[in-house]
Amino acid sequence: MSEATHSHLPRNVSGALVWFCCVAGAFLVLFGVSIIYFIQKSYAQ
Amino acid sequence: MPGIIAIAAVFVMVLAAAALGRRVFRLARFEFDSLHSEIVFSAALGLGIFSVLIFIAGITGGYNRFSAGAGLLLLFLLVPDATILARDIARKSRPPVFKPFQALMLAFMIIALGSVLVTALAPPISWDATVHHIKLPLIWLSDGHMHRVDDLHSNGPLYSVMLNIPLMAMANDIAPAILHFAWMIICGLALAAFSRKRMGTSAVYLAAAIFFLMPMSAALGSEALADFPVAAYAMLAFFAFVRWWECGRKQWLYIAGAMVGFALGVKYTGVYLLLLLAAGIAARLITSARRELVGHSVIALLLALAIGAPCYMRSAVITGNPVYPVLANVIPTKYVSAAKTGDAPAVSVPKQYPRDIVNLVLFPVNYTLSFAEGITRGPRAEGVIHSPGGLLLALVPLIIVFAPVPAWAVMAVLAAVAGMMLVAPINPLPRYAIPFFIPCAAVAGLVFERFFWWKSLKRTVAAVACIVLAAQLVPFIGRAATRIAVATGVESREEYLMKRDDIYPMARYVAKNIPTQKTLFVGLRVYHFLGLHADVTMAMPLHQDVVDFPLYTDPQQLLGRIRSLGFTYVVVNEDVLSKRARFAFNLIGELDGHGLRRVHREKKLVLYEVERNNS
Repeated sequence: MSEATHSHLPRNVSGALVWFCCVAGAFLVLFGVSIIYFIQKSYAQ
Repeated sequence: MPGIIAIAAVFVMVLAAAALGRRVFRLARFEFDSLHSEIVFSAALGLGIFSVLIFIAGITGGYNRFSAGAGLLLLFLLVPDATILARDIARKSRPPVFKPFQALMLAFMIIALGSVLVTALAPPISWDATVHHIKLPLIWLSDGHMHRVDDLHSNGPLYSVMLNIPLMAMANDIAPAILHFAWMIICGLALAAFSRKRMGTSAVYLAAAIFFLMPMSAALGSEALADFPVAAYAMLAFFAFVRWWECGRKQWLYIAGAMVGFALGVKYTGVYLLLLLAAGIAARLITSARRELVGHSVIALLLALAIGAPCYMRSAVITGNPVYPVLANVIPTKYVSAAKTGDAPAVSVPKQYPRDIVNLVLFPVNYTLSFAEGITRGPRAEGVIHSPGGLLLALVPLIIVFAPVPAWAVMAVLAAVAGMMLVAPINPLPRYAIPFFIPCAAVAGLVFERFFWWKSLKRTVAAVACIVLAAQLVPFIGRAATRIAVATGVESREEYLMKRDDIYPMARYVAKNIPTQKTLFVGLRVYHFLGLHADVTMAMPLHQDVVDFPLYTDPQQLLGRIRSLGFTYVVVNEDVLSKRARFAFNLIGELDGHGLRRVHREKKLVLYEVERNNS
């Protein structure tokens, strides 16, 4: 199965990598915002 | 010290359960692929058998010294099996050799599990645990049997609550939370056992880390709830079903049926699992020409129904409705608010759309994955704690890119989608969907591994996964940090509860100042009142009929009902009422000074004395 010798990734794999990084990045941003909101809410109470 | 007793009690219970389950499987001549899978299936089966036995003892009035003695005798009889089990585990264990990625995943899991354990060692203050999961055992233990109390949750599936009964009798109220933590570990071990034969070691570690590091695991793993028992049974049922699909041995179908049966007895979401199992079996029957499969399938489904049925039959006998309080408008149901049966006008719950729309923007990951209550009430600000984590959404959809897709991965994704579609319309709490998407963590592991087909991607993908998982450790560590003083005994239980629990200060005041009076608590959580020996009845304004708020349009009617039931004091949780049942809040507000006299306030809780008459 190894296609390690490919110098260029197949288009669908490049797309998969972009999707993976974007979703994970978006999650990290939102997760950070959520935590800050959550902490603020806890302190407010 | 209470923490050590609780951990020891849960350890003994789980070890004895694994020994019992293993004995049953061996008697039935069932064989497993590995000791790992044999142990997780055995522990789940054994704990399930314990719950059924405790359930039977409860309905026959057997919470007494005799059944405690019988339980201890059973434990004693299981000592040889437990010893052999421990010996087998010791023999099979070899010093592990980790690659750096695996070592990092393991370190993440150890930090997360350590944090959950520390959090679980604090006295119970979580909502659902103190509403019923530990409150009911407290009442039933003191009364010696299992009976209906004025609480929505004293009927319905109760197997996980059953296990809390011996734990609270022999240990303390911390033990149920430790047991829930143990269920979380059983679920994670089941996921790992399933994944081991289907992907490489690094991918198995990632799948397990995705599960253990879910923000939901941080929020739920340390509390005495029923979410991880049902998730563990669901994962094991999926595991067994896939094994049956793969090898066709009937034992796996029977195990899947048994696991779904126990899930039916733990939570109503088990009904959805039964539907999914039936659908899976139907799919197999359609694609296979083997006629004997029909017989095996019928036996498996009957086994599931037989194991889960006692809870539903008890509800039917007590309330007239096997799925009490669901479908009360269709099935004639006792002990439920007239607003639920359609005999009184439905009560509208206040909507908070402007704030909720902000929340929707803030928490799209959670709402995308977990269907917050957007349909009827607008999403709620549960945010960070109800997310299953970033890697599931990032990895699972990519299964379509990396062909060939194994049949089990298709089944895992279908189960998750179908489960969420079943959960969302009726009670769209994110945690209700957990049982259906745990197998998707294995799919995520598989996709992660397939990225490695291209060596240039290996480091990038592994690094992103590590960053996401490291971020997900924050709520684990944060929760543990808030509880470490009390968990280690530096802070007293009393101080902790006074500071952290909104009910406890009022419970202490009532127990101290009006101990012989009958008090109505209009709120949801009465565990600490009962724990301090205050005679208190819980009223849930939208659900129960003990004081059926929706029936009364005139405040004096409500006051008449409170008086006729003999209540001399009323505690009102203004916070809960103003958010969840404003009509009840307004009714009581109108009685303030006109039949109810304010005598004390603790934070959002107000204590009223019921005046003898209005003059």
